Amino acid sequence: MAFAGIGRGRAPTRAGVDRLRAEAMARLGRLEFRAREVVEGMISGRHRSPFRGISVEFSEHREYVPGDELKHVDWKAFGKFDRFFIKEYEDETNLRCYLVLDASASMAYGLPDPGLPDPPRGKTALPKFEYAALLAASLATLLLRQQDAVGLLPLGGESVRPLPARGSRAQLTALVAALEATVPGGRAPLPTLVPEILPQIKRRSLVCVISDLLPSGADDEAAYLSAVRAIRHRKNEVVVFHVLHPAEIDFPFRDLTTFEDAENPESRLVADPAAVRAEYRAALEAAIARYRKECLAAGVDYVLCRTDEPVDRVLVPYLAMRG
Amino acid sequence: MGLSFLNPFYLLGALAAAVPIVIHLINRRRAPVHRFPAMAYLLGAKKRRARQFRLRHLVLLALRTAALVLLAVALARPFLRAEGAGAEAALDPAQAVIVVDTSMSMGLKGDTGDRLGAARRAVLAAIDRLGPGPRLSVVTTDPAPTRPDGSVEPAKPLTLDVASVRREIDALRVGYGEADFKGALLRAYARLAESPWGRREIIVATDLARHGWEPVSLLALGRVDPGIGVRILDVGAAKPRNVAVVGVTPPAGPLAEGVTARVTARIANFGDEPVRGLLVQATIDGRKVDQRFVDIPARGEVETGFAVPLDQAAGAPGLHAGTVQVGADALPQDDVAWFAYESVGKLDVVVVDGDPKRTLLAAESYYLAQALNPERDGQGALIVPRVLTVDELARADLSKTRVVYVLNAPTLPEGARRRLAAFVERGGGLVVAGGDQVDPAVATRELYASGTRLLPGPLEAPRALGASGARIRVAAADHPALAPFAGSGARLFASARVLAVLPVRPPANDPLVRTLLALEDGTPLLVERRQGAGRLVYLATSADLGWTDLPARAAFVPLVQSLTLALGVADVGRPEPAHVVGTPRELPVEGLAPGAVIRVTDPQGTVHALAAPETTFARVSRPGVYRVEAGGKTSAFVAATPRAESDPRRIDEAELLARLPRDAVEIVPAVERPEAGGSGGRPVQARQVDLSFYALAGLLLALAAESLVGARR
Repeated sequence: MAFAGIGRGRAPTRAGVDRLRAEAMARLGRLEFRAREVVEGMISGRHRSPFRGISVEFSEHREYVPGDELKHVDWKAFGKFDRFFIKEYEDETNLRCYLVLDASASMAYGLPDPGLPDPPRGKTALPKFEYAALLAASLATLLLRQQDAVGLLPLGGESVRPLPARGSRAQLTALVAALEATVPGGRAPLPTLVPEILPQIKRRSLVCVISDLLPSGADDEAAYLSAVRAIRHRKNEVVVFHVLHPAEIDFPFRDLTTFEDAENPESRLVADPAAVRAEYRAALEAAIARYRKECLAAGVDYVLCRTDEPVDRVLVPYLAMRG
Repeated sequence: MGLSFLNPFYLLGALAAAVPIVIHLINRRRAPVHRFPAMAYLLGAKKRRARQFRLRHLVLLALRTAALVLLAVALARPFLRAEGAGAEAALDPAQAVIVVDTSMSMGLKGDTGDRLGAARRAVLAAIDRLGPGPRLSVVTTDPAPTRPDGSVEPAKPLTLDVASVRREIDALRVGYGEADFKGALLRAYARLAESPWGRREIIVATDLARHGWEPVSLLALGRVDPGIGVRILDVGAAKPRNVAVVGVTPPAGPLAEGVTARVTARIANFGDEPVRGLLVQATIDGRKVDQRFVDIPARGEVETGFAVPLDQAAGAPGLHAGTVQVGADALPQDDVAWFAYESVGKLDVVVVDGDPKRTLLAAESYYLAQALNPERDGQGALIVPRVLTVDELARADLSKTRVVYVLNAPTLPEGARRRLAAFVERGGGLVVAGGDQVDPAVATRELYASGTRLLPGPLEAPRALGASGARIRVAAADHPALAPFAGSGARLFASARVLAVLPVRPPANDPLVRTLLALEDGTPLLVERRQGAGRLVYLATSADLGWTDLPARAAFVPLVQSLTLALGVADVGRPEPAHVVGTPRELPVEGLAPGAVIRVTDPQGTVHALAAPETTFARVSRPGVYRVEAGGKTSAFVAATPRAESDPRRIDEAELLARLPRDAVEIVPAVERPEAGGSGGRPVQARQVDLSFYALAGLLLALAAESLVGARR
């Protein structure tokens, strides 16, 4: 991440770091505006949302005409009347979406830090939480525009306040305010908290899990996947946005460094980055591959997000893929 | 096999091996803390890589430590000695100061070249035998430089660069001076005293010529370290024949145009066989002017003279350089000797006749004019007199006149008196002669009591000395004006009588006044007084036959000639002993203002400058004529080779050992090649394997491996 005043080989002062952290938070404060920018850019030239709602409120039958989808044929009526009838529902277009946002301490990674190497020239990496918040706000903006309901379920962090799914115009403001009020911190294992959040999610909803999925303590990859499957099991459509900082992916450190677990300071390791880089990257890439594979097997969409990639550049291909 | 080191102190550098370890520990302690979320993957990687990581770091640490240790070992110059090698040489490497005799006698040539060449080869062979890694320094027997406190400067610092020492020895040349063994040995001892460990040795290559060692008595100095061996390589065993020009007496007397001067030279035979029919030649300014054939007995010496016609040899008045030389022999450096002289042109002499007569013969100036130019020849004559009257004196051109005679003048006009006084102050010579026309009271008033002093003292009343007159005696035989009357020459005055005098009474205790001739009763007859740059002379009798018969006697002509030349030519041509090469020369310059530049041009044409009051010229390094320019005047001095250096006689071994620390000294014949047998002193025959190369190769390998391992990321 390129920060003014911090260059390669120059140790920033504590005051400088504090100032830059404040700047990062100030950027988060303009979240609504930035999310709108992202969405405006995405939907220019696109006229319908890729997200479709499915309502349970039955309206009436009508006779089948060629071109109707077969999945909407009422087979019971066919048994009775030996004719094809199509079921029609009321409130068909509304969708409930829950944004499950990881706000644990590990998501704070990427804030200005003297030990963090500069990104390659021309690249700018956002802190993970700032990126996740921007992603959530962008999705909320997109869904609210098409009259869908959006709720927020933050995991961990300070000033955490769940936001029930609503489709009102004021929902975006409330959601952005909740995101801005959230300070990542502490431990918030998705696997542990899933039993708590599941009752808050109505069945057949769209659930967007935004997390770094980094194992910590007993919460390993399997636990994360189990939690995702549990959400999926309730006939929810699930999308996992796996947010990682480029320093976590590329491991560009050079000098001998004492690495300290962001969520467990007692876990420390003095390592020569050059010596462990290859092994580390291999382990991380294997983990990403496993997440991708298991998500696919469970019918869950998996999207890897590098925080040095703009949000729209991540969302547009994904949404295009959904068609 | 035994391992040893040439420079064991460099092994202390191995302590630097601790540096990478310390750096490693410091870096480890100072590793910055970085909060990192993906610790699970990092820990997993670490577990797998832990052993490899630790091994890599240990390998790097070991390679860096090994590189430093190998560097220290390489600098310490390790070597292996074969069994049976001398224990002495197995110790530290030799530290030696090479003393090379570069005195003139080392130029003696034999069948294989000169002695210095033999010394050079012997020294190089001796260096080869010193074993590996000797530390060396070279001094010559040239006069040792001294410090302000009088002690000698040590020899140059010892060096491991044997190649540069060899080049320095190859560049040595035979000098023209004497050997200063005492100074050279003290310099060598002083240098080795600063390195009090290991084998220390002074290697002297010399012809053992007696004269060089005679002043040496190191034991008497009490400053000799018996722990330092002295090995003397004798390169002077052969006894070649040597003939030398050991002295030249430059031409003396009036060295003016037209004079035939005489140069004498002494030729010495230092060999044990007589020399017959040896050709000796004299040259002036490079042109041969005379030659002689001489026979010289064994270990004998002869003197021979040369006639040098100055009108032919000396092309122009001024400074001239000449040589006397014999045919080249084994020591060419002493086959030629130089001399120098300054000649002048014709002397312009004015004779003021105070009593001119109608006939020349009766004139007061007749005898004097005849004596000044006996041959009456204007071409070949040295002195060209002009006879003037008192009145003509006031108008005469005295700019080129060297001497003025004023004869029996009753009075001189004030203008003439002032011109004469200025003439004397400038360096001219004035001779005033008495006579019957001179009134002592008037002469005293005008020529002494007035501001223009032209007499050495007041005149007294004239005095007759009887019919038989008074005899003349020489009062200052050493005066240049009376040089013809030295010794038996004084008898020339025996027949002369003085019948009357007009005595002068110089002030008592006047250091500038000197009586040259006197009468039997002590009455001063010829009195000189130095005045300014010139001189006044008063003759207390007449210059014609009026008061004395001296003008008609045999002594008159040489007296007048000699007096005129002494007054007119001053010190020109005065013989002076030659200066010896190698010793500082006090330059004959006086009265220079501080800072005035003195330029000395040596025989090779190199100009050396000194600033007054420094008048000591130390660079007399070659024989020949040195021209000195100072204060607008030019003079010269001659430097000659030291006679003793021509004498090839050698000092006995016993006598030499008595002058040196006997236990530490050995005298050995010089060996020029290692395979020629003989040790040349302390042999070092052990087979040695220098391990420095292996240590350096290991260092390079360690560095390459470190780069390879360190580059793996």
